[in-house]
Amino acid sequence: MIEQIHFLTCLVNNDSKGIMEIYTLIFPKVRKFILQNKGQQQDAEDIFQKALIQITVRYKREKFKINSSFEAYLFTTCKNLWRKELKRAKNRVTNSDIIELVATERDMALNIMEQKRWELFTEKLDSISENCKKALTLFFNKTPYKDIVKKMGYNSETAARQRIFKCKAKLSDQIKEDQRYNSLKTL
Amino acid sequence: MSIEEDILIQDFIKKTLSEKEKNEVLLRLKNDKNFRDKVNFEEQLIFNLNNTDWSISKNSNHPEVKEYEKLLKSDSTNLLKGTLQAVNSEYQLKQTNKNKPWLLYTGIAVVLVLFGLKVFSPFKTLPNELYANYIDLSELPSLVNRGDSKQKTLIKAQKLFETKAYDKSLTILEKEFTTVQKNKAAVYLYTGISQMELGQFNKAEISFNTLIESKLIDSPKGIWYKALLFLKQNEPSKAKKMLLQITESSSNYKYKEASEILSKL
Repeated sequence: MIEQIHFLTCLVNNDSKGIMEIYTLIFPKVRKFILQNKGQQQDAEDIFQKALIQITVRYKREKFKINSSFEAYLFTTCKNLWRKELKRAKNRVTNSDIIELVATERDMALNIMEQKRWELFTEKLDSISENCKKALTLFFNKTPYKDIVKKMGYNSETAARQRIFKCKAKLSDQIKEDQRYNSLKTL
Repeated sequence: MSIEEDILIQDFIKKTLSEKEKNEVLLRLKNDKNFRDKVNFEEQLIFNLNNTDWSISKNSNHPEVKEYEKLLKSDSTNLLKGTLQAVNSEYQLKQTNKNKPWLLYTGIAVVLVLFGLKVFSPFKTLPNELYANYIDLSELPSLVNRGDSKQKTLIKAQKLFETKAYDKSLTILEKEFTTVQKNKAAVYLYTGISQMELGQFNKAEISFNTLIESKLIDSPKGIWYKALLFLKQNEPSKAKKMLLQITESSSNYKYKEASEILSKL
């Protein structure tokens, strides 16, 4: 908690010494992750800077609570930004439509909101039963039903489908019942 | 939602429906808001909770998005961007040098050359040079009102100031500083600038602070001259703080000039 406040304050106050501490502590992990996932050194530097700006601006506006260490939170933010970049790169190759280029600030504003939505969804997935969470994680990661049957010990694919349907309904209800979803559903 | 409808939506998202089934879903999406909401939510679930995908939003008209966009365009965010770039360069250079010691010496040599260029080049932009470029005494308000011949001492101080006899002008101004009733802001300004030109930086800072705290119409000018004072003393970080105050609003005195200097510092 003290560490979180320290780093967030350094960012808000534009304190280069504190920001250097953040770099020393966390950049190597982010760099390693991006290089292992189709990225280059420059991508790692860009993503890291974007994530720091995103966190600072969001903190300035809403003083949000980080439920993990600052290090883990920054790493996850970088990871999510990189996921988005990879998806975009994939869309650029497969989509023949003209891609609308969005202004950087607008794109970053959307990133903040997408991160908020992702946090809500993952938080709710963590809050349902361990069994449902496990089944849904397999399902969302495109595991074939026949493999879900084996891994989860269900009797049949039909049983797996019904179980996942029920778990998904539970998760959906919890997300929709949360106040935060009201402002995120129209995103 | 029924399990059948759920399967239909899954297959639509996975693009495994036949052409006929796909067209039926597209038609429903067009005409049935409830169904459209279900598909959108299902897509959000899948893209957010899949480890390799991401749910990309396009609603840039969302009020919160607009609000964040504004914050991201603010001067304080621009300043943070600059700091991040500087820290990143320093950090990456350190890392490179750790791995290749010879690069450290090359780096030092480059820094020294750049420093030499900065010091000796005619294009240098040292803070005190920015001071010289931006101080414009011709735009100072007059110490006395037109036709007010009663204020003889102030007329004299102004004439001395205009001929750059700052020490003599200051002798008069310092006497007037606490007692003056009319044109207080101008007296504070002339006093501060004279002190600044004479290298009495602490005194100049006090004079400009007096103007800033006076709440006179011209008090915002104190912030500008205090920024110039720090530039003259080669104290860019202190100057930046003052300049940032000015750039908080485009209606502030010397907003354009403050923004220019910030980009050069």
